[in-house]
Amino acid sequence: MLGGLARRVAWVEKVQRENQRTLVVDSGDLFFSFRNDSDSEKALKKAQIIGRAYRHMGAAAVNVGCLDLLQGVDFLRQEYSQGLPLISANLLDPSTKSPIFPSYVIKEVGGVRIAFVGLLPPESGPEISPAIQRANEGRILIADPIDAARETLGKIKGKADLAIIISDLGLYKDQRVAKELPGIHFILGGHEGRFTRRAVRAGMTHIFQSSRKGMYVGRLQLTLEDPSKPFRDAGEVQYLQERIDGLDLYIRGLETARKRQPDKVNPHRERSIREITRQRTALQEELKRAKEAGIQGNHFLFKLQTMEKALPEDEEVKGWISAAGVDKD
Amino acid sequence: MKKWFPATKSFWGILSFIFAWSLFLFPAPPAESGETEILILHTNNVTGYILPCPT
Repeated sequence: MLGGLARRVAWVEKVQRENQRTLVVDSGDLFFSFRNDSDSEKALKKAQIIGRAYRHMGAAAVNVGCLDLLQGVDFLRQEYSQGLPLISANLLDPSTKSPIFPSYVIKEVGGVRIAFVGLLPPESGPEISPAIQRANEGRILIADPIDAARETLGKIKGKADLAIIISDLGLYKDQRVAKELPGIHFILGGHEGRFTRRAVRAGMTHIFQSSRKGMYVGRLQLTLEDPSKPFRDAGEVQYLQERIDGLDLYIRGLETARKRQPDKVNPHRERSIREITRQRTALQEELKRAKEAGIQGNHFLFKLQTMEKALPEDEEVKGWISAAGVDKD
Repeated sequence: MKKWFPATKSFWGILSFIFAWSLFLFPAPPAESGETEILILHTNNVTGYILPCPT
């Protein structure tokens, strides 16, 4: 059993106490899923508790994901009016054609101005299901995310040192955004809920996702010397070494099997040994280059923190859950 | 002691004042001078889960 809101709040607040230069963000699909669509009263109670918890943690920005629209945009308007910092560059009011929530927020931390821009999938895509359309009929318009991001990045030019997209587009669309719009430093993504072991790079942009269902919290540590210069991945050496170690273990297993049957040639096994050895050589070259490059200048380290059972829970949040009667499911 | 050195009390007062100020004036330095460290905590696809989830 991993995750839980009370555990996440306790852990985040501990990190915030230890490091005051900490920002909390969510990429969307925070409140609802198709799973709990059938009992909307219970789903709303849970969503309100989640909104309260993210306000309690002092979240810097929460992007609107497509599933967040499942109970209608009015729920999100209400959360925003209570202080939840919802953002979206491409969720528009159909009557005014302007964004319902701010397109971006800029937070200054340690003298560095960081802009967060929110994006959700286009209206024409399969992500905006009939249930989402029914719940928001005539009340929302979703603009093309790349056009909206381009316009928003133009607005923040000169106002921020770092541009971070918090996105519910999914990895492939995030890669397209990064390739079309240079100047984005990071994309903290979502939609698929991937477990990121290593940042995906598109141009100069690094893309991550932090799994799903609140089982993990992504921890992106930035070390900046000059925000105008590109970032290096400080976890690359460790990641490559772990992959090489994994392949070594695999090769040893295959060689042990070969020794056990010295008279019998297994062509499938021999092919596997050759292929894995080739992969290992390529990774070793990559590791050598990464070690030579070092980690001077701007760099980052991304890790997923497991919300494991041993971590303490926030008693106040446990109280909210219990008082709402949603502590059994 | 106070009789011979009337300034003793104020001496300790000044010393503790300087000590207290030094805590504010000289906070722990960052990892390297000229570097700024920032931490961003990120979640996605929580999808309404408020209780721990079976893996």
